[in-house]
Amino acid sequence: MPEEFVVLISGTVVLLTLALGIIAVIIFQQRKVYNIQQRNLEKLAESEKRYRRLVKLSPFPLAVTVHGPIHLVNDAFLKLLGASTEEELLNTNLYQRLQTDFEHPDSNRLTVMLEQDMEISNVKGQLEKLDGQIIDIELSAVPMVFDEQNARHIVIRDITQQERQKAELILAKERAEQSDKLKDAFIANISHEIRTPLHIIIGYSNLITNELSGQFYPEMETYFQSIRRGSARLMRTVEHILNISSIQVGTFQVRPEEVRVSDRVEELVQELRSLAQRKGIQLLFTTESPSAILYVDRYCLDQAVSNVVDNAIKFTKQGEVRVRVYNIDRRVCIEISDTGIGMSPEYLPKVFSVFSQEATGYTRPFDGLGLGLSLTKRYVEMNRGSVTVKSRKGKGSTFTLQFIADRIEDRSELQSILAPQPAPLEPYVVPKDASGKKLVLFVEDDEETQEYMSSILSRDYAIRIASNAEAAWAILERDPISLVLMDLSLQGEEDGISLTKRIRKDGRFDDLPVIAVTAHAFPKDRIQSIEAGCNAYFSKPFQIEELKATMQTFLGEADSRS
Amino acid sequence: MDESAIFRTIHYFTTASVILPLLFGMLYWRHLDRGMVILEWNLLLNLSVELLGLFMALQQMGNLWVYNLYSPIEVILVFLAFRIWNEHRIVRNAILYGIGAFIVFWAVILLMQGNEQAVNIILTFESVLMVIFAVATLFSALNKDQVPILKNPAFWVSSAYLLYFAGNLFLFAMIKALFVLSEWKNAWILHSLLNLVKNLLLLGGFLACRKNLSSSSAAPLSS
Repeated sequence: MPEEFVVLISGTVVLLTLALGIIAVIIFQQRKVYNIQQRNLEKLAESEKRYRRLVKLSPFPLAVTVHGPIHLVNDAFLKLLGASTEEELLNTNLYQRLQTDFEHPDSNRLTVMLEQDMEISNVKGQLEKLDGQIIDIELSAVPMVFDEQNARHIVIRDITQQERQKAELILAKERAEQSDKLKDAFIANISHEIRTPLHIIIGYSNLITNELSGQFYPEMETYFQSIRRGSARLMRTVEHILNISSIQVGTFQVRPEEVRVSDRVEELVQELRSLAQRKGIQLLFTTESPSAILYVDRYCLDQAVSNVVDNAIKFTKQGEVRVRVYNIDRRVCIEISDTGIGMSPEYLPKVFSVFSQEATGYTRPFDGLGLGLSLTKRYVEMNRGSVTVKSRKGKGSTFTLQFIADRIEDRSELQSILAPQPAPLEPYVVPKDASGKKLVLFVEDDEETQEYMSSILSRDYAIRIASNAEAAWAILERDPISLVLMDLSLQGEEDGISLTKRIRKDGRFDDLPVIAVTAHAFPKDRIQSIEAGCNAYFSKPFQIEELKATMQTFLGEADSRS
Repeated sequence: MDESAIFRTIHYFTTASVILPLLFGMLYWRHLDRGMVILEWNLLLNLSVELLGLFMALQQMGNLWVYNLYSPIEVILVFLAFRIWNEHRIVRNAILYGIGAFIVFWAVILLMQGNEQAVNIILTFESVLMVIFAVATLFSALNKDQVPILKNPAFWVSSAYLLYFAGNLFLFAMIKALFVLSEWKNAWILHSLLNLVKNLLLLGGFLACRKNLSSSSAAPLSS
């Protein structure tokens, strides 16, 4: 055989063998890979079957969409959209039924988010049902592969009812807030409207008593004392009712300040001493903690202590009422004990309830509304304190008011109390009118009060009266006023607080004393007055002697400086 | 019948076997992917060239230029089909460069050597390129794991060209040397047999297109 044939045959055999080998390897390998792929596809098909079953059984509305058109839905979704068969929804575009807000289609964020390859969780929007009804929905969506396509698994929750309830709740809350505001305004107005006439009644009865003292028949003296006592009792009752209402509405604001508790309680005891003396009982005060400082609302402390001491005097026929201040570590206790009628063990749990009194009916031996102790408890608790009571029927009662002390200092270090205090007076030359009397401007819109105050003060001072802020300002600029008595509510656009601020801003009246004299008697009114620049604050009704004394203090100091 | 007549008969028979895949290609024309469509055109041209070559031979005319002219056409069409079935960017580019290289080579050799001298060089170079790109296409078919390989027309076509050109490579390279021998016709029978194998495998490719249609899970094969 020629050599060329040998080369040809051997070369061809080698190449053919190689080619066949390659083909065989390819067939073998591909079959292997194909089988694995088939198994994976089978698993995927099984998984998809399970997924479809889960979707169908889910109680939540579920849909699978591919760029909008619906590919799979469950019964809950059919129900949500108001469809009866799948065919009504399959291949229809779900995104066209979705909006963030149908009233503002330009700001449609929902479908934009759905078209992006991102996970969405609890996004609120709206859905148009088949019948055209718009419902509020919460939508969640996750990207997934479905039928070998990029799809979205969408869960929709109908929150129409929830949104409606939420809107109703908001409305109800707004109504409640409106109602609270009205109630608050009502309480403030009632307080103002009762205090103003009471102030005049008490003032005039005091005036008559003082002016005609000695000229009365003996019975007449008693009548006027009864008027004063009745007025005071009415005032106290009104104050209690208004305060308990204010606390219940939630408008009572606690404004804590540092108070030297021992000194303050002693002052309160002093104020009530005459009441005790009239009943012939002893009112004793002792302190074992003279340097304790509480960080409490002064008004609350005063009212709490006064109520309990007042009650103790009221329910004690003979013997004594003891007021003791002491501290246990950082707790300051104010203990008020009496030798009065005491309380039964059955009544004790109710002693701090509103309108509660042990004796009721037409034959009850003591008057009052039963608000004092209830208010005391609330005042104390609003100031991080507590109140306890021990009592034995016929033997007496002991009330203990307990507070957390802010600090207990060496008495020598106690220089001042940090509460808003009347601004210190600078040297001031007190002007006088032609008669030599000092000029006092009384800013007050109530004519009867103007008349009453003029009649009281005109003996010692030259009175100028203004009913509104503009008139007051004109007098201030025209006359050399020595002192201003300022009502807070005035006719016109500007009130007393605003006018006081205007006075304080004007350099000419920097040192002019301004005393707030008002029927707005809540603690916030006092704070506002002092913050506006008033040097002192009197709430109606007040003792005219106290006002005069304060006026003299301001003007007298000024006199001595000048 | 003498030995020469037998060889001639075998040659004609195997050459005519191209009719089989061509007919099935026409039958399934609508089901063919782009690669198979190109291949169908190539088979039609191939048949035409064979008929023209036969006619010229019977008329005692030189027909080598017809075959030389057909070589680049066959390379372009088959390589384009391979390119369609290959997904790898480098291979696709290599096929394009292969077409360019072959055309330049073909033109240069033909001009320098003339028809008779160039034929074995052109066929040999064509065989080498065909073997390389057929193997590349086979490996590409390996990655089509969603379809069984026997249902992939690319597998059948690339196998056909691999076997045909690998088997004929030495024959084409030595054709001049064999012509001077009296027994060369014995060697040429190898070409006829491989031609038959190639056409049968191409037929398999067209049948695979038909099967693809009956399978619902089949993914599109063309890129």
